[in-house]
Amino acid sequence: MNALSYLFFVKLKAQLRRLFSKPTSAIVTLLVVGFFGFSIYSAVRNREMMSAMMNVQSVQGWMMLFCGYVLFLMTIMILQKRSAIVTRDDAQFIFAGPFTRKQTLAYLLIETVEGSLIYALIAVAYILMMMSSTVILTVPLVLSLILSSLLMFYFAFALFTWFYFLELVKPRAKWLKYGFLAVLLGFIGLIAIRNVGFDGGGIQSTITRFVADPLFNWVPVFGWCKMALIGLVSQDMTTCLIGFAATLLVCAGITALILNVKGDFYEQAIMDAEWISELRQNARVRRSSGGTNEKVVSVKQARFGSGAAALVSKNLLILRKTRRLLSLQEVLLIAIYLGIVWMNGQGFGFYQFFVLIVLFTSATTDRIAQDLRVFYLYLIPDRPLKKLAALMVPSMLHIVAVVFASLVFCPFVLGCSWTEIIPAALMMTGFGWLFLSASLVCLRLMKSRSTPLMEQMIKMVFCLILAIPYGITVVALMFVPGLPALAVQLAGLAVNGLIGLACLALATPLLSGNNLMAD
Amino acid sequence: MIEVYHVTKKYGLFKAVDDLSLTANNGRITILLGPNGAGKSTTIKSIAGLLKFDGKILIDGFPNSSVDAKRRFGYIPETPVLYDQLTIREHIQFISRAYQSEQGEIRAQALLERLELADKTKKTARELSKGMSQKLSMVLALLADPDSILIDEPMIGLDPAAIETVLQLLKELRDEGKSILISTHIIDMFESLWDDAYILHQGKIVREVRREDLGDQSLKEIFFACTQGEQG
Repeated sequence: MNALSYLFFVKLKAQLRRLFSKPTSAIVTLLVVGFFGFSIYSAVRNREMMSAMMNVQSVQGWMMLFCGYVLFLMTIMILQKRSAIVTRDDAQFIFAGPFTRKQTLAYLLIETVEGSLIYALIAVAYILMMMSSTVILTVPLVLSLILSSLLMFYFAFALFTWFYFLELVKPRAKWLKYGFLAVLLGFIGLIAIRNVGFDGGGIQSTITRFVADPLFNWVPVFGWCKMALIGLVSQDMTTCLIGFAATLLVCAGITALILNVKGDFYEQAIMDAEWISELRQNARVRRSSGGTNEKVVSVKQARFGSGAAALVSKNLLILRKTRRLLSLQEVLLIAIYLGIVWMNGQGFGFYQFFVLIVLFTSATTDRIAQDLRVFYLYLIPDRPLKKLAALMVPSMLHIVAVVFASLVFCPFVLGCSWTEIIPAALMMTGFGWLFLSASLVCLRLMKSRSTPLMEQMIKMVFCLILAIPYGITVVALMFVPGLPALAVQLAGLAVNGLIGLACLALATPLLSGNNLMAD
Repeated sequence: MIEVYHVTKKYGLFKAVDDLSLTANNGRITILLGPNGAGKSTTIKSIAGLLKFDGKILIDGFPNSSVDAKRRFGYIPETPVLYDQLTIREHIQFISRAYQSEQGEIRAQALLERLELADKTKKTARELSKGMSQKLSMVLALLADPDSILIDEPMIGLDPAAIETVLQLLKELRDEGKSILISTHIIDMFESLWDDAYILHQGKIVREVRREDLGDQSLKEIFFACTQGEQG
């Protein structure tokens, strides 16, 4: 076991070392951690008066959203046709090494705890920022949120691991996981149905009742975590303790189940590890831009521009062949945000803030980074700025698609007019462009995407700084009497456009050789 | 012609290539020999403009990162990197247009036939085996008729028949007056082919050999003497 503990800590040390390997990376890491720490600190300090009832309702709403997210993640994981729990490097060491089955499984569980903790901390940082405007945040609430988040993620990951082993040992046991999901989701569905049309109050009151339905407290882990937090907020410590204790018991139970898995699963686990590692490696060297299961349709006629424009044609052709301009996740997120705003009656202004969050997460350099790992990009005889701009086209199309999908239903759902929507569309497109360009600068600064999470955090800090000129422009123009909103947003678009262009120019050296191609 | 002057490539404190200078002349096949980790691939990638480095690299007199230089060389990597969703035909169209090579598609067709890929042009890259991907990678590197060719471990994944075809192709390209720089650790493969050889060890060139000056010693003997018996 010593060797396995050593492996775990060495890997952890290596991850931390990578973040602090260069002065710029270390400074940026500290800045980002400081920024998040400060955000949470100010959220906790902001104790504006709100009624206790409002606090409970808000926590209920946010917890339901969070539970929904983890449940969705767990369902997707469990329903995967093929999966793996370790990578090739780990598999060769832990499955072939001189370790007992229990030691191997314990090692995997420790890794699961580590993964859950990382997910939990990110999720909590995100939720706290969202919650801070509607919930009085206290230190015990933040700590409880971290604990419940950790437990929910651990439950989801550990359950997935258990089902994985179970299926390897007894292939017919896969029906168990389907059964489990059917019962769990069916029960939640029944709670939802039971609240439909109860008092003729429509969808809004149905959802409000669903969120507050005490029957949800019977949903294992998710309901219990929600119950614990509600208990804490309403100062009912017994409920709080019961919620956490029950969750801990289930997590302990699932841990015991995993530690006692019998049967021979090593061979298939190694094969799966090989498979997942190959997928990841392919994605890294851009043999594959998606999973091997990605559907590709054939296109009769492909036309290519010349020089750097060929890159645009190539990327548009791939878009046509893969039909992945918008992901299901983005559509769902937009629908959820639209639903939240509509239910709470928060108005179009609030919705725009949510869309900016969607844009921020959507405006990633994933597509660009894939191209940056293919050497043809560097070899094509054309100017670097032109090539980089060419790479931005599909990503910008994606942004425009997100903006369109976000706004197209607003007149019907939120009742806003086109004179509100058009300036909003301009503002969002401008920010999408800004986010994308800022991502490129981050990519240049961080040199490699070995820490995408860190890149995302740095991007957030960058974008906040880069958005300042937009804010100043828009606020200044608001004082000009009689200036229409469209003109204000056009000026804002111009400002963000120029800053984005400057970012693009800053990122151009990426195409004059970089360490992305060093693998 | 490829000229490399005092190139150093560092990863953190580690010098992967240390003050390396070499020349790959037109009409000659130059090989970069070295044990694993000697810096061969790093050198080739630096010449291709994929990595940042200190020093100077010229391709036909142009700095390697310039558009003029990029028009003049082709690069075949150790691991073929293709776009999974595109067919062989689409790859060829893409590269031909990107290089603005009017004869690109015609030249590619001839190469496809020689490398036995002509009947597979509708296959997407993800349907190709590693060997086929490597062959396509070669076609793409050569379709713009470059004057200089950079090749990193070219035979990995190829079957014996394909290796013979590639060796023959390399001879023909040399006879056309092109400069060819190949990185390899398999000496036997290029025994009959090389004209100039640079032996790398720990990022430095430890020996430069011209076939004309070889004398009684074989390249293999020189290689082992220089690298103190490390396996190639």
